Amino acid sequence: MHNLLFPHRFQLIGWILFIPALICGVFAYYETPALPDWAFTAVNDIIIIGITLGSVFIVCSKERDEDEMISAIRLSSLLNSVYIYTAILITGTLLVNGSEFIKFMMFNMVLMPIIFVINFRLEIRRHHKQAEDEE
Amino acid sequence: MGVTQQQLADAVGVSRQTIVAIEKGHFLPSTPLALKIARHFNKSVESIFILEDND
Repeated sequence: MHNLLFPHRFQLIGWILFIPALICGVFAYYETPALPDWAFTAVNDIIIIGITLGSVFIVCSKERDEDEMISAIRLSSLLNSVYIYTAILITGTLLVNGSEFIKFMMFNMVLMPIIFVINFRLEIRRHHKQAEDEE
Repeated sequence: MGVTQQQLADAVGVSRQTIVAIEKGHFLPSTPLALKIARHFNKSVESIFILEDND
């Protein structure tokens, strides 16, 4: 089976896009910045594109030691992310109401890629640690 | 058999971590990888991998 993946260097590009966009997103979520309309729209676009594109580059770039186990980890991380995302979405839908729900839905837009990145990186770390413990 | 995990990993084109995971039973290799490992040791796949009840 051959998966289409980005070259490894795209992972660094992904982190460069993802981390600043995530930090801006957290700030914008808690305190709406006082900006002109065009700037506010631009900031929103940058946050959403930065997080989604960054996460795709992080997760869909070849690892240095890319092999069939890494592919299996990638696939199982995606499955776990779907479960976690669904649980958060259902919990949020039941517990959050009114204007806060709009905010929750905005957060929800980028939740899935964020969960995927965290899940995948933790699994890859555990995979490498298992071999180190063997030494 | 006098082969290190790294040597086997290099011979079959995977990382050493993957060989460790296969040895520990944390990862089931694909059929091509199982065949490559068997070929490396000049043995049949069944003599290296055993189908367990919970597989």
